[in-house]
Amino acid sequence: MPGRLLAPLLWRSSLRFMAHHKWQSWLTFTGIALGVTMVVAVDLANSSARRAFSLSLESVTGNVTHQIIGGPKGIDETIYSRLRRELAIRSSAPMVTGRVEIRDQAFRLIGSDPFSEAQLDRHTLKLHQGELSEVLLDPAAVVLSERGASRLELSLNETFSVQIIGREAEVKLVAIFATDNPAATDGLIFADIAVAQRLLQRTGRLDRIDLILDLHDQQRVSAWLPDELKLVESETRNHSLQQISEAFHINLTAMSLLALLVATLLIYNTMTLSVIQRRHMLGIYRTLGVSRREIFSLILSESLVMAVAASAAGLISGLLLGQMLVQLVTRTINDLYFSLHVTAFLIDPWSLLKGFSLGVVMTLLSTLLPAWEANRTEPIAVQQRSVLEEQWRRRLPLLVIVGIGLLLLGMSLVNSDHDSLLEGYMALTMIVLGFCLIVPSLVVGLIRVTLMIISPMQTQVVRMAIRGISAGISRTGLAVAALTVAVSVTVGVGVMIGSLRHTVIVWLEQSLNGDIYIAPASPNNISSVNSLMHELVEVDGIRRVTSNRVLNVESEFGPVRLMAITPNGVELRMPIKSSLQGATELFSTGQGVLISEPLAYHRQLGTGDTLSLHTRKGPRQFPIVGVFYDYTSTHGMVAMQRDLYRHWWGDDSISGLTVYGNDGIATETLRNSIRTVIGSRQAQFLVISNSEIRQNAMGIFDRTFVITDVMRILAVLVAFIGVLSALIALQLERAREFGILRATGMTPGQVRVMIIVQTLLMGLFAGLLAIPLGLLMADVLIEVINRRAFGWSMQQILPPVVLVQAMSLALISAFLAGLYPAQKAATISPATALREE
Amino acid sequence: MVNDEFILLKNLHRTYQEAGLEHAVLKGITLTIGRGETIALLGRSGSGKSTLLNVISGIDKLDQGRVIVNGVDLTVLPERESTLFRRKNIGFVYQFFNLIPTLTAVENIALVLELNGYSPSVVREKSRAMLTAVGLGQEADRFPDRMSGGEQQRVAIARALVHSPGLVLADELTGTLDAETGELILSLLQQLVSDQGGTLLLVTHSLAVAKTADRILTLEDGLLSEQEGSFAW
Repeated sequence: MPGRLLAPLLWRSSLRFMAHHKWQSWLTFTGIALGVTMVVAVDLANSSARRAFSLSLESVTGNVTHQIIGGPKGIDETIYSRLRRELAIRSSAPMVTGRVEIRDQAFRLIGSDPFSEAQLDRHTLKLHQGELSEVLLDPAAVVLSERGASRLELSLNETFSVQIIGREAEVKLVAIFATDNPAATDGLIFADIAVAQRLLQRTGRLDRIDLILDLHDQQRVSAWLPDELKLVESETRNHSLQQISEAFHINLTAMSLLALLVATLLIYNTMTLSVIQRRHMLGIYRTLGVSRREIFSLILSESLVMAVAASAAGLISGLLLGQMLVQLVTRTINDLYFSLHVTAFLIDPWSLLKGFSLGVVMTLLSTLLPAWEANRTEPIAVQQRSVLEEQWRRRLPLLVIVGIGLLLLGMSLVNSDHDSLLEGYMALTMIVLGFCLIVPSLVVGLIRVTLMIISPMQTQVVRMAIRGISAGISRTGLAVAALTVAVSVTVGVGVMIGSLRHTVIVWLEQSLNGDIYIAPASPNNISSVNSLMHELVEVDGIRRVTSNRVLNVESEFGPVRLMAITPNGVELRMPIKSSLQGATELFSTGQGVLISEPLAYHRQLGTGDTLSLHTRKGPRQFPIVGVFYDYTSTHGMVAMQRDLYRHWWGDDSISGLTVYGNDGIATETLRNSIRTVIGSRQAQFLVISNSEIRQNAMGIFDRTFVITDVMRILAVLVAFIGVLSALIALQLERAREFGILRATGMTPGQVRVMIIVQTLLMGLFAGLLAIPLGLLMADVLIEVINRRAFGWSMQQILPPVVLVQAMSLALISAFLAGLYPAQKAATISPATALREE
Repeated sequence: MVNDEFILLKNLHRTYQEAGLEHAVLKGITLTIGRGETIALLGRSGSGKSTLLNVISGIDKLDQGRVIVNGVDLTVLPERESTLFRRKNIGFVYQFFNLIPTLTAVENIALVLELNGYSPSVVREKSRAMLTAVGLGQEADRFPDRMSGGEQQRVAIARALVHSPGLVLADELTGTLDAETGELILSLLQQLVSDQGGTLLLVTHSLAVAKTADRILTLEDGLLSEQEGSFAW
């Protein structure tokens, strides 16, 4: 008679096993659920931020097909009227945009022409007749969406102040509009173009002109445009804007996948222990005629049930955590990339499906090996524990060989030149797995060393505790490997953040060599800045004043940051990564430009290559004479000699002045002298010291890594839960053995000490082994993941606090994991244990 | 009594590796057992009695020789076929009972029927009846760890016989029980096997137990002899 795929009683037995080992089952469940939580939360936070960004773009782009973008000073507004007049392009609108702050909240000011907007038919300034006249007539009129006004607690006709680059201006809310999609306009504030130009101090200039063009008009406009202006497809431009923050999203995803990898290893560990614990029972099944395939299916089905339930729970907690993470993600994007407001938390079904599937697939994958082990279980009559351990011990050299192979393969991927993040993850996985395979042999070696070290003072209990680890290496090796991986995540991520922080501090020290920096409120006010510069040079205590111009320009790869500097008489102190011979001379004489490391890395550019930039006279190739370290922009920066810039862009504007004081002069004295010179022009200039810039930069850095730290804590929590489960399972499995020791005269106290010593020792080994693995992991994170995501190189350092944290985590986890089994074993009835044996 | 060649063992050889040394446990065992026979297998500890049971049931492999049970050569069967043969034709009773701790008494018995593909109603009916036959009809829903050694062994016997296997293998089934309980258990097993017309192969240390069998075999130095004499163990 053919049997069913799985006898229902086998199922019932498994469920009762899980119920009986509820600690273990709950911890496994929580491990999977937390892994899924992290993946889902990060994915939802990322997709909400991306969606908010594209909605915000959409609301100001609408069905616009093209944009005219301009040079350093933007576009002369007469171009717009000429475009309408000479080419009769009616579907067009002028735009001026800028970042403002209202009541400490970031908003994007959009200045446009309400009449032109009506022809483009998009969200911007969709007003009723009465409101329209107010917007046009009131020189301080602004418009907000219903949600924006309510968030700022503003009512109609209320006057309030906005902050624009250190200045303050009064505006009046003349209209509040409703929209079908509130999230799209939530972070935007609208004004008539003239009002926006005045607020942003860009009178007579436009940032861009939005157009709806067919192919014929596109050709006409292209031919008509002056050289310094460029016609771009709005979709392409929006895409390149979106790409700017993509590396940040990718890095977050990497962190969440790392947590899932840890969770997977721990699930593997727990499932393996669960199989080992049931070896006897599985042996009885085999004797009764349960086939190997049925045992395999049984273990996989158990894991499937657990995976489905835990992944479903992970989805719910992922939704909750995602809502918190989206705030952190938004803050970082605001700090680093662009003004973004995310109020609508997007529940993307694809993210949920992805998280759920990953949870189930990873759990099943991690169960395959234990299920295969279970499938190889011999019938009970031929089982011998000592034989099993002997088989394991014989397998150790093979595991070491395979482990070293995987490690070498992983490291070769790390050193490969491919620009693939996937390869980075694969390298990370191989290194972690490879190291795990070596751990049991390393543990055996460490035990030998420990026995030698403590041999003069060891008591019998301690000796038994130490030998117990070696005797049950099939189980202890797994538990130590799991704890090692968990702790190494702390080391790896800690070293990565510490190294980047250190690198940025060093870089700031090298790059910020001035004492005081002065930023004019309006870069176009050239005469005012020049006159201040000349006045400052005369001041006692000031050695030198230099000026610079920083702006976005169009390159062959989309927008890049351009920094025009005057190295005259000043040694070029930019931290250089690589350069042509005589690069300083070439740069200073305007014969080439320097590009930032991320630009060089992502676009595969190097010294000797050329970079095409869109100048006032159209696209021009600039030779690259060097690559400099830069951590301000992940999409790229170009440094150019000031005269060269002036020649090609015809722009004399100044973005900032750098003041160098005489040696020994106090910053505060210098600042006071500068303030005295500025006198009544305080509102026109922002004065900031070197240390304040550093402080601000590090503040932003630390805020950026708050989210990484949150992820690290969650990853450690996943690991901690998994390890707790593994160690508890391990010690509970030996309950009978402890009962027999009690029966043979060991006191409850001695049993407790033995178990605690054993788990603490395992914790110590895991802590020690986690350091090399953590350093390898840091290497991958720094050299592959971060480099491929951001293009940054870092100086790797090992912060001592990371080592202390790692060792504490390992020992505390082990200690906590030992408490419950120690208590249980100490109180076991020796009679019961003897009877069962 | 004996009416055909139900079990045929031909020149069985089995050697184990222990600490790098070869240890020959079976050195050419040849034996015929008839259907319905009760055989007692005596021998010192480590003489290979359990190994002989394991190779007869197909759960241990031979180095050489053939095991034919009811006309089926187990030594040539693939793993899966061997498992299915065992599931259907063989029942085991062990010294340490080996009940599934997560199943109740009646579920332990029912599991074998389920594995053999019986319908749920037949499984329910047969397992209850078998439990009643071993005198534990009222204890159906108790878990093994709540039962005495004698009760657990009766459940184990019920589990071994519920699917009416042609061959029942019992390894030291009275070893952990007191003399009185042991005797009761033994006679219960023999009675039930005899009622089903099955063949019983008993591994034991006890001459008293052995004497209840149709034939007594002794395993010494890897060789089998059929004799009755004084036993020192």
